[in-house]
Amino acid sequence: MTYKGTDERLRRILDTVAESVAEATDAEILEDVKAQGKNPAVVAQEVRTVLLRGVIAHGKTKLRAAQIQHEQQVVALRRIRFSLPDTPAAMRALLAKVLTLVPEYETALLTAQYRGFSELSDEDVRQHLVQLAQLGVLEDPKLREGGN
Amino acid sequence: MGRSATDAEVREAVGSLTDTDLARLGSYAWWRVQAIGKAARGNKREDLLQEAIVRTLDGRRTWNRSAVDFIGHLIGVMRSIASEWVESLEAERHEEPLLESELVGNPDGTAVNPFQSAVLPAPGFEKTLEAKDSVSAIRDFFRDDPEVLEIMEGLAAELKGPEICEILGITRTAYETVMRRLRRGLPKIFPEGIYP
Repeated sequence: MTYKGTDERLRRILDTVAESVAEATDAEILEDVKAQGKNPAVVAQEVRTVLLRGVIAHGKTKLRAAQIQHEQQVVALRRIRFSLPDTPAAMRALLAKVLTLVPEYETALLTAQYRGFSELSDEDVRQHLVQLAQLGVLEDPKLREGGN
Repeated sequence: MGRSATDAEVREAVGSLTDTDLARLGSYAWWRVQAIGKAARGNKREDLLQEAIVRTLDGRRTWNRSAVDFIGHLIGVMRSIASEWVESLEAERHEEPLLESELVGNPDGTAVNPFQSAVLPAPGFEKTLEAKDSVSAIRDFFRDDPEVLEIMEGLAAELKGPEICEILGITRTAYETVMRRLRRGLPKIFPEGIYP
């Protein structure tokens, strides 16, 4: 479907003129600019600035998207609700249970620090449990079986 | 499909464009915006150029380096964006409901499917007048240049360049010379643009 009329006729003429710019020789393009009383070097610089502004605009959009994603991740982590046992001994027992159920965590949590489980301070134990809670590990129903 | 060009690659490509390349891109963008008229919705040549860069970088358009140089790529992207803007405006017009008076029946009294015979709504009285004035101004400016007037008529009649050359019995070079006169004349008639 098309609409006919003067507007469409004008558009067709201008469309053809636009395409003639793509096909013109370099010399013709420079002559066109000069015919308008403009300096080709100045025109070129204007266009270059616009193009580079496009690169900057895209960079800012990417940066903003990354910031939003980071903010969403932070909010999501803060929203994770979990409760740790009240006493250091209970916390240690819970961590021991996690490491028994999923031995891979022992490698990840302890070996990297060259420390054995018994050498962990109470604060280390609490920090590890916080990390495991944020990962969702403490939601495993098996951990709730038999208390702690 | 290839990967998107990186910011650094596009910066480098922009840096390697010559003054003539840049003038060509600026000129093409200006004419493209003029050609789509109100469908540009106030966007200027700068907006079209910038949008072409942004789409290249965000992956909506992929620059196939082995097939086309950077300037050819940007011209293609601008052509596509301009076409999209026109389609968007036409889609909006199409969404406007038909009036009851526009739903006419056949002479024998049977109903007609309005979509079979529908043409997009006319661009509106004011817009048509503007376009009519613009065409008149162009004709007036080139009143002593019959070649320009004849080619304009051919384009208005939906003929392509080669067909016009054949009908008028002119060479491709002569046709391109007329295009050059149009390119240089129109900005003199409409220094602020045809649809300011």
